[in-house]
Amino acid sequence: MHRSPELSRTELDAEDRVTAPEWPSDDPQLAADRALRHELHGLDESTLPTNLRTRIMKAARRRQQPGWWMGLAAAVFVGLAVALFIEPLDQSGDSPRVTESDLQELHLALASLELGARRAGSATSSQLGQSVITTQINLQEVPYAQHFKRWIQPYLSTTH
Amino acid sequence: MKQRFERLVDEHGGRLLQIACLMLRSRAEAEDVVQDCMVKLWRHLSELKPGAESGWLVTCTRNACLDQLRNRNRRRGFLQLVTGETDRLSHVDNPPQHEMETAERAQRLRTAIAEMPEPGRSLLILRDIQQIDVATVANTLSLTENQVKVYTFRARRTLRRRLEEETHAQVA
Repeated sequence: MHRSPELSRTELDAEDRVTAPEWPSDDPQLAADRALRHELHGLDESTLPTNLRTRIMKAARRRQQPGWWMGLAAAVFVGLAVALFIEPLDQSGDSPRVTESDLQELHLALASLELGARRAGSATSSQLGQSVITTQINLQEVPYAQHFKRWIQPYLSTTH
Repeated sequence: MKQRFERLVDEHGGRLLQIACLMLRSRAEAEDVVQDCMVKLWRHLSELKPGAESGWLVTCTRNACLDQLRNRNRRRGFLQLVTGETDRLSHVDNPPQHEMETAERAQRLRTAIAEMPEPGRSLLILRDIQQIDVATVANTLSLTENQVKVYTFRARRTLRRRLEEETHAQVA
């Protein structure tokens, strides 16, 4: 290792001879190199002890845990969000329930609206009737009350 | 993916531990390095193509060992500076000297390999001890195949010379 780092053909050939078993080892240097190589090959066992294998497996499993913990943390976060925000909203936001009195108020309001509209219509026609050529329009009852009644009816049956 | 990981741990774990032990000369540090590399493998397994794992693992282990050695040298330098303490860290966790000749020889070999400069040390471990093919080693160490051959040859000769010198010194 103290020689020039340049590769020499002699050394390259020598190494090929050391590692090639078919090459005759009549050269004492070559024989010594081969003996040392053989000795080095049998130097130590290369088996993995059971306790080290167990340690490695445990360490690898521990490395898996961050992902698992992230999943758990995400699940806890979502759970907390549901518990803190969605449920209170559900409790505080009263569901729309129509009572009998609400319905009566609605009927009264619609009747007032209808009466008001009829009065306005008759007043307008009487005011304009003198100057405007009128045609006979047969206005029927405005169907608001019936329309809303149909819409309200399902709620009415559940509240009773 | 878990099955693939377990298979790779069983297939390469022992080899990586051997590399780390030979480079670091400390069983505890070597086990930590192998564990870290295996955990890194687990994290990057989905990105690795099948068949590329072996080279990746060897590179990871070698780089981790080199980092560890650099840190150790830094600590040793600091200790020498502060307390004048010398060379204690290089022998941490060395097993006790055996009386049998083969065990002594193996110990001397391990020590000599650990003291080799890079890339010679890695080449001796990968090419001679683990007998990994030239192409894989070249790819792992970012060398050409001819460089792998020549540098391995030189490293082996250097190791031989050191062992012979040590033997002569003991005899003398």
